[in-house]
Amino acid sequence: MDPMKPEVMLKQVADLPKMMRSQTAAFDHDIRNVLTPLEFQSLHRVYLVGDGDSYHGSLAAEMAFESIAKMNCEPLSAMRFLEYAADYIPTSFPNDTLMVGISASGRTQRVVQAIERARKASPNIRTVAFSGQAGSPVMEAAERSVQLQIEDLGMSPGIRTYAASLMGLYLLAIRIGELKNKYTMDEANAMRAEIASLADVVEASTPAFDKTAKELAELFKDSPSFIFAGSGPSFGTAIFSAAKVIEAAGIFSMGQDLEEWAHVERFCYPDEMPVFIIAPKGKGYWRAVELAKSAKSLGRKIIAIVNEKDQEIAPLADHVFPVAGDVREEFSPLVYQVPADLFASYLATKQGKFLFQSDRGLM
Amino acid sequence: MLETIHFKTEERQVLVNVMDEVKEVVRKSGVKEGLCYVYCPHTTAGLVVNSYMDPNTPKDILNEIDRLIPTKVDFLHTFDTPSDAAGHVKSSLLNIELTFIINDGELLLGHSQGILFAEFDGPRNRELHVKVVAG
Repeated sequence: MDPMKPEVMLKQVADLPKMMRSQTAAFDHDIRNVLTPLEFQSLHRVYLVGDGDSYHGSLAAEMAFESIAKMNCEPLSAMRFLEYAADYIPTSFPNDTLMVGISASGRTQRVVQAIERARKASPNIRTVAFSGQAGSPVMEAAERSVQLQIEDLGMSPGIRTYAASLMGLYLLAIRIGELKNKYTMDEANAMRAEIASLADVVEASTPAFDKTAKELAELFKDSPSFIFAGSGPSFGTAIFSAAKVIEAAGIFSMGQDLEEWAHVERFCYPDEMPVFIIAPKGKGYWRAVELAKSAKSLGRKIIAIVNEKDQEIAPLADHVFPVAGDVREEFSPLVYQVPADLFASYLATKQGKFLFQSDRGLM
Repeated sequence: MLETIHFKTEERQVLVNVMDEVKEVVRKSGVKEGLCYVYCPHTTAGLVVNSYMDPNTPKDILNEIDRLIPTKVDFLHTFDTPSDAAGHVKSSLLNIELTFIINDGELLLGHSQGILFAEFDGPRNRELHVKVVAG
């Protein structure tokens, strides 16, 4: 296999708006039918389980289930679910619990095992697989499945597949809330349309994102580490973003919650460590403002991923990725992931690296 | 003359008296003798002429429709919600078009008759088409 060049990530980002526009309705159709209305109405809790990008997507989608579907949501890595959750799920009532196993490739071994363990734990746990691959082991393991199929553009760190997982999870949250009468059908359809319309925000934002990403790749080409910080859905975005830098350039990067950074990572050297603050308007924004001030006082290089009209964090930042449009916090990961995708690609290019160290046979 | 009346229903199920809005269209048309067609372009709503004097009458009508067509979870149409599926069935029992006589510039209606728009899956943005024809 030829080593994977970083440029494939740029191709993924360029295709993202088209994928979002073309696939929202198709994903929604399948998600509406994955459970019966009675099964949807019976749900009281959901586990979102995956590894790597799929786990990051679970973290990023947690708020959507809690605020839109109005139900308890627990995002877990597959290993944690397998050994530290599956055997402890309350199972007195049928259809009470939904376990969604997520794997873009459909072959993630631990996710397969997690689904199998859930089914073994109780027939009262509904299992649904989200995967891009029909007939894959993950889809075969679950009772029901949704194929989040997207056009194959070749191997790459997950960018479009991550977005597809997020879209699927958001649409599932909307469907649950709709059938539980948390809002009207018109309101539900408006949220569905909102997801597809975020393609416009991605498209409008990408030129500015691209410019900043290139500048930062040059500026930070010798940086030994990076931190991405965000809360709520942005915590998922932070961990995913860090993963892209590692996958592309192999540089140690960490995603951390805003509050936790203040307790732990603020003690890291070097002083000028780049700190990416992911701060869409929403519940965690106030803490992001405080973190920006704190990090700045410590000499950190602040890179803000914020709305283009931001007036509080942007002025404090050394660099800004301006998001060209308002995005509901629950859905923000779909857009706010893009800066890291571009930065990771340009950084790897600058350093002459291949994705996943594919020139060194690590894949 | 063709005019569309836009309005928003505020409840999941409700009978909305749209008589005044339809009368206004007739008045604006200037037609003294003719027919007025009222058309409902929705599949989870309908039209009925009945009494609006006592607010309990519309409630009785809706309660009996619910008794005939309960909202259940096992309708075959599952794309939207059980309420929507039930709304389609309820709509099929009612009219979607009503014709009224215009006499001396007024709708010829009984003294307690109202033109009631039946919402079966609200709240929603709804519309009615009103066509006034002289003759």
